[in-house]
Amino acid sequence: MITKSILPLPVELDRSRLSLLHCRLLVVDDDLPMLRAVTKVLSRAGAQVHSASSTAEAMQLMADPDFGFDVVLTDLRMPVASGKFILSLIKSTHPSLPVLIMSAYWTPEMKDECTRLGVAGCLEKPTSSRQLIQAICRVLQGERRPDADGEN
Amino acid sequence: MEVAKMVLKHRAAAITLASALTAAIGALDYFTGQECQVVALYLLPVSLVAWVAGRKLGMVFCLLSACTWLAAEAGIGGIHARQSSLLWNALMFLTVFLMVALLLSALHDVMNSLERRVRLRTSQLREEMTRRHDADLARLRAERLAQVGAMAAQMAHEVRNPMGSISLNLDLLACEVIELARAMPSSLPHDQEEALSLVDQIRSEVERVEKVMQDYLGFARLPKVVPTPQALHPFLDEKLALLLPELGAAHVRMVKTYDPTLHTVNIDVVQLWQVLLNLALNARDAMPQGGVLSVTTLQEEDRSLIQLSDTGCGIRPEDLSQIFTPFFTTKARGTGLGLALAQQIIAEHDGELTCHSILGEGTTFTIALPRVREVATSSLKVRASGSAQTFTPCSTPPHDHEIHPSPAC
Repeated sequence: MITKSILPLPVELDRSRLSLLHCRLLVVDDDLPMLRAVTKVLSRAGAQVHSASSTAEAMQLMADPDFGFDVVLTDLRMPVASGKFILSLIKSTHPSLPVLIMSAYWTPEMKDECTRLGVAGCLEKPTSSRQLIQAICRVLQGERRPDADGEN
Repeated sequence: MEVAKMVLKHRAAAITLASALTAAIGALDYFTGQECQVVALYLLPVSLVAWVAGRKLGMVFCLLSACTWLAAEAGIGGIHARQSSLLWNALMFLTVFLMVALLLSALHDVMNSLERRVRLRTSQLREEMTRRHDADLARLRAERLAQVGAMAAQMAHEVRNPMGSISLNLDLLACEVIELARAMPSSLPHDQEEALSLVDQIRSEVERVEKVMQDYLGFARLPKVVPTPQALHPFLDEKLALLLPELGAAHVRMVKTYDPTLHTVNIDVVQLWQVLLNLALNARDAMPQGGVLSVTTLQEEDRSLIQLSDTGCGIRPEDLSQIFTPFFTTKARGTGLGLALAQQIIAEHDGELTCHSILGEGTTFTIALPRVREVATSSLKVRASGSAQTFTPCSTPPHDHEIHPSPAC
């Protein structure tokens, strides 16, 4: 699902759009309209977005060595396995891959637990596209540097 | 009936009546000339006095009755050979009278003490019942709020997920509109503006739903109150300053009056700020034409008070008892949860939130916070007074300073 063109969003995104350019994202959400909307918004911001509507699908995409994701954005509450499960799985297999979790409802305990598991950021639904993109940019800027340093 | 009641209640009346009775019986005794037949009648005044006036006076009357009888008998028969038997009889009657008097007064004492105990217990029970009733009400309210929270947490998933996609899709729609206008320069710019304003309208409605959701989630998220000892004045100064732009825009002037003797109190800073914010914004809404919001602190014997008074429209008396009830609101767009939440937060501080309002003149909300427990006070007080002086030098000498937002009303 690679973008055809980069279209401007009705927010000043010039800087953030640049940084989302060519970055590979995995979006996981069981709520299809939300998944579609997030995918479209991020695609417009220039990212290569892959979407999964379940944990199993996400795991499949993750296992594929062709995809090296930069950031994973997942919903928290999903049937079968939650976003927390994805987070802990990713942290055990790809410890350096930043994971953002989105939820309609955060309890302080849940936030604490996710922080303990190493989440890169907690987002609250509903979110505007600007907030969404800014959050991802922040994570990319914060997380890419140590990675790059490691490779060098 | 009334007379009997009066006699039984008033000692003086009873004693008067008993004296009269004794004299009458004595006279009867004397004039009829019967020796022992009327003697039982003397028991009447004796028991009356013993019952109403107590043991001592009862015994006095026993003696009086016995003497009266003796006098009457002596009067009838003159002083003759049966003197010793008369005296003996008098002594016997005296003993009987005394026994009756003692028995009756003892009975009366028992009855009195029983009655007292019943009365005491009744009042205790009544107190206990009111206390339990209040506690039940408070618990019910807290439970109701907790249910609101639990429901809101559940609803959040059902409502905020679609809200999330609506919100993002609106952004996308706005993009499409701009794209479309760019692709077809022939179309009127007016159409594009119209379309964008429609998008904005939908967005503001989404925000409105989100605001309601936030209000409800306030109860679900309400974490346990974690009070820490704080000096109230620096806290108030810091937080109330944040409100000034908001109040200024509504032509509301803030007047602070601080009590320099205010103690340190245990508060959860974040949650008390929620309460203050809520009360202050309510006050602003009550004064659409502008007015004065007074923030006053007061130190009472064992509690510290923060009062927020407005000069607004006031609350109708019939609404006053309802204002803390969840879902009760008089605002067109209110959820009726703000004050309920505020009261809940203050209750968690072991404090009390009360409201006094005069229709057309204004409303005063009073937050009463309990004194910090003795163990902690000694050390804290020293720290508090020190910090109050260093923190806000202005708050100690002038007890009254005003803040005028730019457009003074």
